[in-house]
Amino acid sequence: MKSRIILLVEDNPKDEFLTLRALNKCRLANEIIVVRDGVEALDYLFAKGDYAGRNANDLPTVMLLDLKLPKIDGLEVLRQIRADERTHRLPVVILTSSDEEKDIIAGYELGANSYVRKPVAFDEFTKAVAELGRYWLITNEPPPRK
Amino acid sequence: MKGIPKKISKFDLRLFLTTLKSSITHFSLILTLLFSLTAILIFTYFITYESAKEQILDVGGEMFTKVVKDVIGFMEMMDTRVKAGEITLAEAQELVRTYVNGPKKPDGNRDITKSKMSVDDYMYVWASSYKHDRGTLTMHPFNVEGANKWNYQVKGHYTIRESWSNLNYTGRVFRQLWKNPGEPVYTFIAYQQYFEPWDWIVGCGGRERIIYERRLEGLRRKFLIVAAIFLLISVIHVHSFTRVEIARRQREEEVRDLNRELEQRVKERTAQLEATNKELDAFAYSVSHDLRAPLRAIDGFSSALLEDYKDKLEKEGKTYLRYLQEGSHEMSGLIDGLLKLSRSTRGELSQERTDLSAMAATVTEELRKAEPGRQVAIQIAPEAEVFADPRLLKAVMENLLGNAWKFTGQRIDARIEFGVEQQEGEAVYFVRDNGAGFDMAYIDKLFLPFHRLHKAEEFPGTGIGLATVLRIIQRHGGRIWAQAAIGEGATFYFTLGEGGKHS
Repeated sequence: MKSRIILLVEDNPKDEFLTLRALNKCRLANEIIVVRDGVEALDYLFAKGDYAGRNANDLPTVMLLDLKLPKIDGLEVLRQIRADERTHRLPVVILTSSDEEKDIIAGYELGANSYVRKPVAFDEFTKAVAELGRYWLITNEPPPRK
Repeated sequence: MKGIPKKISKFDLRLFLTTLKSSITHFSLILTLLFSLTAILIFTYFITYESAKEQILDVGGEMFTKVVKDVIGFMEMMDTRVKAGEITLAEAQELVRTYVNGPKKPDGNRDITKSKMSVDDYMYVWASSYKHDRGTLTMHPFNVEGANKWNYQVKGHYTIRESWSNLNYTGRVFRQLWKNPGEPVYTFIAYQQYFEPWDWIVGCGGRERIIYERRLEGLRRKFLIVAAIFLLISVIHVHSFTRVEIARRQREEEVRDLNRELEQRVKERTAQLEATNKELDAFAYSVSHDLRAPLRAIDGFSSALLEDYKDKLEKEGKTYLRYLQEGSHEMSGLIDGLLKLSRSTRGELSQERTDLSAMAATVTEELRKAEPGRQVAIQIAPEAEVFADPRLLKAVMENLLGNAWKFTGQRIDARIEFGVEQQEGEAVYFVRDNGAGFDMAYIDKLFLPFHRLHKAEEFPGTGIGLATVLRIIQRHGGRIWAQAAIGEGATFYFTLGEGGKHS
């Protein structure tokens, strides 16, 4: 059985709570990892810093990435992920409040797989997250592990 | 605006020369030509006059020679007669004297009015006699009163044909002096008082020669005066023309300086505007993120509260939570509207061929899909092509058609029309509906942001849409206006400036 791991990169604890609540309702994921800023995200993926002991080959099935993050912002994280061979193919869904055109363009330019705007209305938000989860964990074929 | 910068004008040789050159190619060319012509004429005149002088002298000389030959011939005749013993030397001298001077008057003086020669003729003969000293026939100076005091002048006389010194003597002078016999001879320098500046002494000569001189004198004088006037006028004209040119060049330079200054200011302003735009971008960006996140929390946790604690809440509690949610939805709508409004003024305006008819069809189709239950008659004029930014025009059409859709919500026979009219040679596009309309008294507030003319319960909306539409239309250089009556519907007209030509 495939292990379905979601990496959620979100600095806002309220958003984090609501996202987790929605995801847990669907009961799709085995594990949801939450990191609070860009540095933590990179540390996790490359098994550095606090996550030094982790098996770096064990990548999440999908990464939900917010753009507005402290320290390193989402786009920079994306750039570094795509630059590295190990994480080059990792499915990344940008999940952010901004629907500014330049953000969307930048996201796709840097190699995001999907761009989803976080709706304000909660039920829409829940629906969106559930759809995301369903699609990326079940429907989509993740890149094969090494 | 700061004062116009002044440039201190200094003499620029190059500028002067170029304007001089150009002045010659301009109107003053005629004057310059005339002046040159005059100069040539003067030059020619002088040359011809000089040669004329020679001719005159020759003529005069011929006259002299004739006279001299005549007298000398007579004298030689007398000499022969003396030698032959026919007459004495004294008699011979007397005869020559009479021949030349005229007969003696009773009082002993000679009546020179009857003389065959003038005084200058005497002088000439005298000079010739000096030259032609034959030895046996010694020519003595004739007994002209005071004449022997003119010796050195006579010498000068003899050389006069070689050098045109105008100070020695003139026939006229001697004649005048001769008028007063017995008076002392005037000195050399005193002779000058008889001369006028333009008198040229050709030499001794008869009356005729003097007249020649006079005539030519007058002509030459006139030429000189005219030439001087031409020269003066030319110089004045060239000078004033040059000054005009210099002034013009200066003005051109000032204009160039002003233009450069303006360009500089435009650059600065553009930089300022770009900086402001960047700030606006950053502001809109932070609105996107930072305002929405707390709203999501409000809505999210209200919903979570509703879901997870619904059995612990009374009906009133549930209602309060619902109001919380509605509040946050409304605010979200406002944020979206504000962002759209700010976006409508930011960004580059891309002008492309845009099919408004197709766009209207798409928008109305979307409206139908959103509310499939509604029956609305939609009429769209075909082939309304314009030159505009399609993204922004889509917002306009969505807004206008969306409003029409919304405000006909209470009519069963709802009708919406999109078309084009020609008004005064301009293509005017319109969206017409037969819905609720509005009171024309409030037409001023129609396009202001956040102003609404209807109650929120009747027709929901943020009141930002038309403000955005107005901005977009204005950015395209067009106008927008509306006509309506309460209960009878509304028509919104707009033009698109240059881009709105009906194809």
